[in-house]
Amino acid sequence: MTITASTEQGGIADSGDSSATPLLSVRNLSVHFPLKAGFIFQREVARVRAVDGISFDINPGETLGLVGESGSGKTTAAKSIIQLIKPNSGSVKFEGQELVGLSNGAMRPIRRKMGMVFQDPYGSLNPRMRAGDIVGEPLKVHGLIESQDDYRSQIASLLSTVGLSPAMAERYPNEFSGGQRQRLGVARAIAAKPSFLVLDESVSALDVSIQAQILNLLQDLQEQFNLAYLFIAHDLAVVRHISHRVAVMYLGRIVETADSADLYERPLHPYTQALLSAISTPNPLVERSRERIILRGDLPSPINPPSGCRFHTRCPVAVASCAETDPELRQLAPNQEAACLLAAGYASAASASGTIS
Amino acid sequence: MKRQVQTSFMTTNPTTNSSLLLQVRDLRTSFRTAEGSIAAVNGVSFDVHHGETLGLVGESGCGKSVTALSIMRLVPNPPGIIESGEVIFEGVDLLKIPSKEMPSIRGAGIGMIFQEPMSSLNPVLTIGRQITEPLGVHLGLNGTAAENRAAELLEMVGIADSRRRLKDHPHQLSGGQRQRVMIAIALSCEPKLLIADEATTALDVTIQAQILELMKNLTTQLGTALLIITHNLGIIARYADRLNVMYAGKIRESGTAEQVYLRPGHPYTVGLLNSVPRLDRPATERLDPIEGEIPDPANLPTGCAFRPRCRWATEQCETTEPILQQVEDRQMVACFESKTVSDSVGVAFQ
Repeated sequence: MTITASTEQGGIADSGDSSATPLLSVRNLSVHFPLKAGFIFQREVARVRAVDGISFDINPGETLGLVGESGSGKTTAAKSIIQLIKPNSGSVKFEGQELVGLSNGAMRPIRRKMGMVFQDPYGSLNPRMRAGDIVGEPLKVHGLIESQDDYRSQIASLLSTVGLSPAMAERYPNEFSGGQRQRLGVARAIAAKPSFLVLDESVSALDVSIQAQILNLLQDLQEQFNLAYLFIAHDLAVVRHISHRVAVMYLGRIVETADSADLYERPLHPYTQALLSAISTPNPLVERSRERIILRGDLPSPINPPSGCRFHTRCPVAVASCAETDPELRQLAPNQEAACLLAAGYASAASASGTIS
Repeated sequence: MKRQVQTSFMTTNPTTNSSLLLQVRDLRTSFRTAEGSIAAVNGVSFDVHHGETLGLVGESGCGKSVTALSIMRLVPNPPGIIESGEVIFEGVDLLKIPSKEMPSIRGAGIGMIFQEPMSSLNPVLTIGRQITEPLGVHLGLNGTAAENRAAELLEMVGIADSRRRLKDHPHQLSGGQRQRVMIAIALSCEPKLLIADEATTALDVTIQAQILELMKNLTTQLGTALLIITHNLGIIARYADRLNVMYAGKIRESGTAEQVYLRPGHPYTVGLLNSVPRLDRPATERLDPIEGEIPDPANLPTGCAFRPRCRWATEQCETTEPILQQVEDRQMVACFESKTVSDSVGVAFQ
């Protein structure tokens, strides 16, 4: 709390009071990586369509969960939103400002408001920097320090905000456990008082008891600072726990988006249903009686995605037209959209067999 | 410690000895480090019966993988050393036989699948070569006979076009397919026991489901016992008949899946179950995690190793280490307060 109160800039989150204006608005975002061949005259022989036209909004203080398997484009989408990867086309509006096409210099003041926490708490911290300097680096970069004393007190306050002792500022990353390192990563991400955090598999590598601690911390921080999260994960139970809304990605596309409660109660897209059915829950009575939807095969290559609906090659209910028509996201229920030709007719059957609860 | 061995012997072995496939007795494996000797596995005893599926759960560093490696006698030495204990597989103590006899146990008696299929497979050999090799060593199959059997095995694990696939190298397969090949190799000589050490952890959830169903179906078909080692409580709930919960080198609770999940008696088991968001319950606002962190194995707390993180801890827990004791038919818990623990949380888990 001391953090928001200490500067005027902390008021950003509060300025987003009109819930009608999203904090982040992504429209038709595409990222294609060229595949080149040839020795001297490199020509493009194919394109990896890592992200292929995705759209969503995130409101202030809201968590959007982005789920999908490896290779579905979740991380690329996140990186292109904060312009670490330049998107090929589409629009990313943050607090009303268009980010696509901005120079690196113009991006810098905006980056202050966007933090990122990575999966690997070991690889994402410089082993030769003291914990305090790791956490304080964004403060230096963005010129948010008035004096050396101010720097120290800001670091101390950040460390205690994430549940670490201020005395730990003098230690090096190798002296911290995995969970503590992830707390450091979170402290660094919130140092410059952002209004938006990208959490890319931030709890996936942690043991379950530590994962629960970090999830609670993230929820506390969200409440305290009105942070918006883009929460990327493959664990759907974790995503349900933390997200207000969820978007499901498959091969570079969003195939379903809904309010968290609706998505888990009534998944409309066959891929969402398969994903949900693949999650086992720690209850032997539920688990042994539950039928699973087992998908055939592996994720197809994003270089040469299947024609029509990209999921039709693995879809348990696909019909002939699925190989021809590429379905668009359609609104099928209040706050719920799915990109499936059959979804409307499928909805009733799905709630009977597809989900757990 | 003697008492612990005896109790577990009596209770986890309710059926006749003839159904016993593997008995692990008071297994101790430690690693020599700069800070001294660290006991990774510190007196672990359990049984595996023919054809059953047993789970071994715990968080990183609890000793579950080292237990598996000790059974296979694959603990890297140095720094690791199996200090004492017995691993009796079909009546033979594997820790007492000469090491040159172990290769005939590995593969033919006990198969093992690891987490990382890419590093378990040899990148420069074809899939066919890697499947036929154990067939030659253990079953004496060579040439066309071995190749036919290898193709059959690939089909059994659901790899289409198996003849052509035999000529592929590991890098030409996806992660899921590599793990299928690993299962084919592990089951090629029809072992009595298959150990799957975090075998699906690195895979995507839909692929994970494919591989788990495959593993369970094949072991059921072949009558192979399955030891699933994982941190994922959901997987165990679905596939295992019984499970052991490990913490800091010891089994803290064991029992049938119903007993341990629905009426857990150890505070650590309760903590684990409370830490995971669950799809079978309404979404909750906050999780109820275990406080603190896993203790330093070189410097374990006195008494019960879980005490500093335990909300039920008493003075007794500080001075005396609780041993596994039977709380119900087939369920054993190493906690002085197990009655209070299961009474206070049991209802919530059902």
